[in-house]
Amino acid sequence: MTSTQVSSPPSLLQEVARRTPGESHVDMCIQCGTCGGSCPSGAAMDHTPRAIFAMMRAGMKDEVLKSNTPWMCVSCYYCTVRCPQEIHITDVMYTLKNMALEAGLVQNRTASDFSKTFISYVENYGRSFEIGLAGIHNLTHVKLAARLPNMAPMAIGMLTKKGMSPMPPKRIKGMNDLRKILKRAKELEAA
Amino acid sequence: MSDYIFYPGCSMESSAKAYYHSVMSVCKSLDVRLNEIDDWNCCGATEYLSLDRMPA
Repeated sequence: MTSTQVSSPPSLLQEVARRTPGESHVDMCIQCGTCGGSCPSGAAMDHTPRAIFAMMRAGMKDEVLKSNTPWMCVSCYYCTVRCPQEIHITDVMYTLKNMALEAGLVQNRTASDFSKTFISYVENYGRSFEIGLAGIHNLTHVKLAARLPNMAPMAIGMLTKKGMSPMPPKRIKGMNDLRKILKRAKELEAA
Repeated sequence: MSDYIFYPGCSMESSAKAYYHSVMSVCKSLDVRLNEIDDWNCCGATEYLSLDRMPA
């Protein structure tokens, strides 16, 4: 029997590197744990960022993409600033979120739904609408019994202390141009 | 008097309104004039990056 040369599919690490803009150094992790130790959301994550890098190297695609780790990331970039290997950890978290959504492996949709609601306001008005975002997110993701006691003080604070307007933002004048830009970006992505 | 182009962003007209007032009064004291970009749109924050990289 003759052996044939088969090109192996790209490893998980290679796929993440390809999908992360610039030189992400995703294969450079030395497992020092500075990222996890620096992370303000570390305690809420299934796996610390350090563990995620070990799992990616081990090719544990499903476990990585099912993890809540990237969804708990608050984009503070502290891990990225402190990483001795200069790995773009926060950017890798965005890549993992994109891949998890594509693969349909997101276990808890609270964070991804928040992003979707945010984007729907931007795509309708050209700007974000924070009271609407908070309202819709609470109505769809907070249990009914907890809704009023949790939400009421926050809503009152937003309206009084913060002076936020309950009116949706005025649609920007260049909305049609913004739509064209977004449409073009989506075409480029699909290409 | 020096002139700067100014992009406030969505939060600055809502939850971070206090920062808007601080920036304005500091710049007034420093004799800096801020010219707000006409009809600006949302920067996308991190929410676009989370779902879809290209539009961001």
